[in-house]
Amino acid sequence: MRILVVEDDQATAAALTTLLRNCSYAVETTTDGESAADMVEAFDYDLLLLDVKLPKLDGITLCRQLRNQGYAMPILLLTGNDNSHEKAVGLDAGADDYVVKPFDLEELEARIRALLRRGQLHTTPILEWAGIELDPSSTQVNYGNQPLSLTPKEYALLELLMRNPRRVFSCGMLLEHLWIYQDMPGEEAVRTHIKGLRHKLRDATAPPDVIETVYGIGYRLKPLSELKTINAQALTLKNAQSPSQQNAGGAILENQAKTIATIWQRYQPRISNQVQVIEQASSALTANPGLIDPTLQQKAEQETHTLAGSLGMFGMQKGTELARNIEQILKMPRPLATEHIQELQQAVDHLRQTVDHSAHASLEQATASSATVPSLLVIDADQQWVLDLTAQATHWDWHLQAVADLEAAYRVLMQDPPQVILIDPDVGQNKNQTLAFVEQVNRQIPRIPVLFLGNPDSLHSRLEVVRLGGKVYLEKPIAPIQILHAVDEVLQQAQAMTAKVMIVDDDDQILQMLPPLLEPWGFKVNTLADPRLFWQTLVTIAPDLLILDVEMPYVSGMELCQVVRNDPYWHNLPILFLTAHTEAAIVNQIFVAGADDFVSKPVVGPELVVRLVNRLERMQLSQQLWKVDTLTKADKRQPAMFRLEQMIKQAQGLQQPLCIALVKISNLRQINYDHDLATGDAVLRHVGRQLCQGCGEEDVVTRWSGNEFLIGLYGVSQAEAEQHLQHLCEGYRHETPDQPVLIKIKMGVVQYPEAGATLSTLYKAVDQNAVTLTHLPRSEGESYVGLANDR
Amino acid sequence: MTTKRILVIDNEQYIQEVVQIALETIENWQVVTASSGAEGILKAEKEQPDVILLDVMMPDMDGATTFRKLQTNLCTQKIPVLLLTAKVQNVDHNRYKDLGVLATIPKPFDPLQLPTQIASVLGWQL
Repeated sequence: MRILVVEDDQATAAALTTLLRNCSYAVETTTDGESAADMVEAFDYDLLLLDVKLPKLDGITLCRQLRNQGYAMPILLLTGNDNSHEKAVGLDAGADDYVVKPFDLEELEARIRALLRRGQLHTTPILEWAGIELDPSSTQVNYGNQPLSLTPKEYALLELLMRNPRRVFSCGMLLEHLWIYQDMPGEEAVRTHIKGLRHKLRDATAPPDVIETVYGIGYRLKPLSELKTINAQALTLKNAQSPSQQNAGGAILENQAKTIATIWQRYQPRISNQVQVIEQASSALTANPGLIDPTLQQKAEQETHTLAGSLGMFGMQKGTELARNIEQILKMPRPLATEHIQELQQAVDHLRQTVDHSAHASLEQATASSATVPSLLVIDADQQWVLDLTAQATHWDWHLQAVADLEAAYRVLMQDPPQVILIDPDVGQNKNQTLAFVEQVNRQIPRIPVLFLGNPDSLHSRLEVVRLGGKVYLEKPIAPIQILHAVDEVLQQAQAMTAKVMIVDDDDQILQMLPPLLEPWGFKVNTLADPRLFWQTLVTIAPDLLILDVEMPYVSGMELCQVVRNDPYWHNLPILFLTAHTEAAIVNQIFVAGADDFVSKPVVGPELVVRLVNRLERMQLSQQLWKVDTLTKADKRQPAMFRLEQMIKQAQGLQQPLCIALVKISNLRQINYDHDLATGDAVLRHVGRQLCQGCGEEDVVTRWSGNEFLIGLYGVSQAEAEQHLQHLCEGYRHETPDQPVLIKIKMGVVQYPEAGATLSTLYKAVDQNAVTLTHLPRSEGESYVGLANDR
Repeated sequence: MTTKRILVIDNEQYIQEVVQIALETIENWQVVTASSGAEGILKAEKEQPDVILLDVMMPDMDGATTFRKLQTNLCTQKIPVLLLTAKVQNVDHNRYKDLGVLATIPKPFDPLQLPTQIASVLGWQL
């Protein structure tokens, strides 16, 4: 990596040079803007460190000039002035980041690393997706060593998609990227080129649907995990008999089930309407058993028949039976007997419940199956070591897949992407091969963190790893348990990336553009066009980060920002502004209103993502410490009380059921006496995390006091809640006891508003209500949990 | 083995979609869909699929009529037809057999099993 330092103060320049050389960068220096411009023209630099105040040509002007000339390397500004105006001007001139003098060396290093990491994404020599290889330097495209002859537009289209493999492009966006303004054709031109490209790919036997139409939005590369090549592989795998290969097939079936669950969700309104027609017919017949409007009769019969034939397909056998039953009654001669009318009413009620309940359940299932059990891919040739790790992972209930070479790793990545990758740098034939692999993972699936696990090594290789986006470098020998702790840590951080982002902007284009930009990075994006609905949306969505437009009708972004900052619960929420303004006065106002950062319009994708990630990483730690109990991962009581009270209000307003449950480890004190405090902690950790994993996203799990967890379950009845929690607590007995610890659980559930109208009355009621679980194995209310080496 | 092409004729969008997802992603077959009997006949002529999955109960032209038309049409009479039906009485079953339907697949079907069911009726190897 080659860095140019432009700094007129010799002492600073010397310090920077020493520092950067120590980090193994190639460093050159110059003292004024004009010579810097000449050097950039003459040599390729990977990064520029630029002082703002320079003789002859100042840093800002130089920056702007370089960007105008099309130079894209990262530029880091050094400024002596900690005022937002200067920063704003610098960033606007095209700088990527700034550091204020006197700077902290560690921070400077980190920022340089971050910028280089980002640059890396754009300098990869050969792009690869599902076997298609594109070499930008020679504009050559190959599939399976077979060259594809593409027209220049088809090539440009493919390159754009492959450079942004997770992004969806609308026809308009493609037009803007691929044609110059003067001869921009209509959108049908894009479709024609896409069609041509797909044809050529198909002729070359590449997967024909590698370019996917995203209905209503545009085009993108189909995610590798969904591509059919995988299924072709799965087919061959099915015939072979090795167990790992069968697993791969299993993963596909699982994906399958998930996809079908999403179809169910999508058509849920349609199915609900079908049930509604049947309900109408049922009430018409109740009112007049002898006569019914023939159109309604016919329609109801048709819908019942369809439901009978389809609900089972979504796994609702009961729904199918009910619908068949209803169909029979509907076909009976009139007038209907009273008993048949009753039977009809009951069956219709049940059908409604089945359909509505499944909507909830399938949603939960879809989110739960992807989120509950952490999954880890280990790429390491050391068999014994992998066995040890696997044993420990099983104990933690983690899903671990181990492979011994990179080729196998590719397969797993495509079929069943894990949440974390752990890799030994020596697993490839040489280090470069491993690094190339990691680089590709980073490019294609940026949200999977990669941990390195190698022999004690030089700083240099550590740097190489960090530059490639590796998260952590662990040194062998290391105990499996320590690894899992490190992975756990990284997963927590990665969850910061699955943050919810709420965007308020009256500009429809922005609202349409940002979600496809951010979602591939794991953000969940909610948009709002009408700022008047701000507060209720904020409270319902409960975002982790807010993006506001400055100017909006009715209420300005700054006013919204102030409202948030004045609220006792929300005041900590990170807020980022989007603005076309860069005037110092406005920028100042934005910061005075309480903004954390701002991004100028037009929004540049990578810049926005980097800023969001930075902001979240910084906020997350303090937020987590404030909101979440680190041991159990349950919410702390104080902040959770607010959410519980919100829940009560919501349940009241929407007439939805709400249950408050209490789970208490009644012998925690005894455990601490009989064993030690660490065992007590391990039990708490186990119970707490199990509860958190087992409850949905909209439920609240809090560590209410030392040994108590209070849980708010929204939208379920008391019976359902009881059943669910009992099931969760039953989970403890599945542990294999290495060193058994007796856990006694007391549990109770009450329903709002029957048991009380406020949180405190509900708590009292549930506390009185709680009983020791009796269904557990062994003697009454006792459960064993294994706590092998977990201490 | 060449990729199989399947035509699904069903008026209900979500059933079409489940069938499509199941066949396309599990077995990599190509699926063409039609929402009515009339559309189904047109597509059968044009696409010449390896098999037609036909829903029995459809509002405009029901499955039996559609089937008869497919049988009398020179372009489509050779294409095997499987009926998707929520009626499971043996009477129906035999009636369809008499008509010349290859087999009936009872609804609701398990999407994950569907490709196997089709393949076994037609003697395709998976």
